Amino acid sequence: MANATGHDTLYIGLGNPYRQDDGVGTYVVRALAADPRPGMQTAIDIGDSLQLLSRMQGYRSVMLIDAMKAGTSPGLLQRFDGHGNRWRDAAFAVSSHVLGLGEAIDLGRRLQNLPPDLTILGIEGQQFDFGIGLSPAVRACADTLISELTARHSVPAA
Amino acid sequence: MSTRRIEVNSIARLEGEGSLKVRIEDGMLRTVQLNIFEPPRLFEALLRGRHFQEVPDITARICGICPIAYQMSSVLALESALGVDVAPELHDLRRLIYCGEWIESHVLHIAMLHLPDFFGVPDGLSLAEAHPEIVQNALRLKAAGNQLLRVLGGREIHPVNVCVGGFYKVPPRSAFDPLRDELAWGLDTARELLTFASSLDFPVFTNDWELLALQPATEYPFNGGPLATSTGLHFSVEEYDQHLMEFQVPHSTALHSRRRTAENAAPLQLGPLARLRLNHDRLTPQARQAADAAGVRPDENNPFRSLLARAVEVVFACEEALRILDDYRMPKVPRATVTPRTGEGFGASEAPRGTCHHHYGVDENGLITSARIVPPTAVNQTAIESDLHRYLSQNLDADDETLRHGCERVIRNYDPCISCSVHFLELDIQRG
Repeated sequence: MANATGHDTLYIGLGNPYRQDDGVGTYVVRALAADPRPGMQTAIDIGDSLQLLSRMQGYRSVMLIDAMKAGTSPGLLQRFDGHGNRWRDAAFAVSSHVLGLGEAIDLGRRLQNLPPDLTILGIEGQQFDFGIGLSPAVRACADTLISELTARHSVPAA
Repeated sequence: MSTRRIEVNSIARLEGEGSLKVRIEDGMLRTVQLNIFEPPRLFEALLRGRHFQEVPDITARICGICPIAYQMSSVLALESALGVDVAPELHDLRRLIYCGEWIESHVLHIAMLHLPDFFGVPDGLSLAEAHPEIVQNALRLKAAGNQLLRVLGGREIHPVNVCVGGFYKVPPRSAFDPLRDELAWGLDTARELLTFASSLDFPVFTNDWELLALQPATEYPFNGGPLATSTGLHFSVEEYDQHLMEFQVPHSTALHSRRRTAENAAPLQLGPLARLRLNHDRLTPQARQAADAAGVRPDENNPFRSLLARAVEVVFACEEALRILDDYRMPKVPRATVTPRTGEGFGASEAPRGTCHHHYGVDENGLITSARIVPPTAVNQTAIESDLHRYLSQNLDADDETLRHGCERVIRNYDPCISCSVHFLELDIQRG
């Protein structure tokens, strides 16, 4: 468990780095973890989707970063309010382990224990085959996102 | 002759894919086939030629829910083949990580997969809306189990710290500090869950299959120990093949199992009810007391009440984990020294779904020459089909929707992990 205050933002990277672009969420959050900033908490390899809920507990602000396969341009970044419904129409990869991301968030909503500020950042992937490494457009988007998220924490927390 | 055909694309709340074919002719039940059409996963062939120390990391990949079972059975078999003795403190740590797996797997099945059947709701999400406190507690309990896997196994899914001889690294006592209070809470919560579950309305249904489980000398079973059956048979893990054999049926890519000497013998049943029958006196004190208070008897023979046996085992796993943590001193050596040699070894452990048996051959360089893995769900297939046959025979007059729902419940009693056994479920009922 992270040692965090409720005022920190938790960034959670989802996906499988051994399925190419599916691992873009973990790529982004690994980079954030390598350059820690005040007010920033990170988590990857959270286990199964049900663990997502317990991992988010205590945080007011959580960002989930995951690959998408919605048929848009590779490397396109989309932002969704986790409390809204628009992200449900987006194609996030399904999990083979009991519950997927959507069901886990649905469960959190029904249990009324989602963080107040829950953002889902989806990056359109191109290659989801076996193997490591991101395709160029996805990597470029991920690197821009890393800079943007890091910049949010450039000022030490009060 | 008219034929009624019902298809369900997938039966919910199971791990894996397959189908059920039911044929009813002139009011008589003719065929019940649990069709597992998951492609063969070829793990046994994949292991051949690999170094013995790679085996627990490869077998862990057989299942995301019960990787410890595959790791433990494989290291036990390989330690037997290589003549390795594992220190008692490492044996306790192996029990500890298994406690984590039983907690996370059993609680997931009870709360998210099995309980919805008893509340008439379609899934765990609906149960969360109707009974949020149950699901909240279950998620927290499951998280405690997962945390045990993380601390001791390096991560929650497909842990990476188990090796032949012990562990790659053993944690300091302080690593478990945050877990002690959580498991103490978990023990109380598990007892409450059992009490609550005992008040559920269970269908009236019994079977009389041959129950099989490990039966160690003194402990409730996790790792190793001779095997025992409800018919009084006792045999060692090494003698497994003398008593049980696998065989192929056309409708399943997972091998069935039966007693070698008795082709028409009752099906074999593995899992919590079998363990409880054969090891009730080995339960930890609070678990036995909780089972007695909840009216869970050692001779339970209603597969629907397997939910209660699982709940008893969650109490046990929390209690056992706390005992091990209380006694824990960081071992000086994390693993025994292992020297390659030619050998053959057998190992078995109790996966949440039942006994998981492994058999390996190793050459003088420590490379695997042969591998055979018998997953518990594969063995349970015949018992599931037999339960389905009995259930359908007793309810032939019911409408198709009732039968479909009933069959799903019968199957879920076994918490089948079809991805392990090779996945589930399309239901096809034909009435002539």
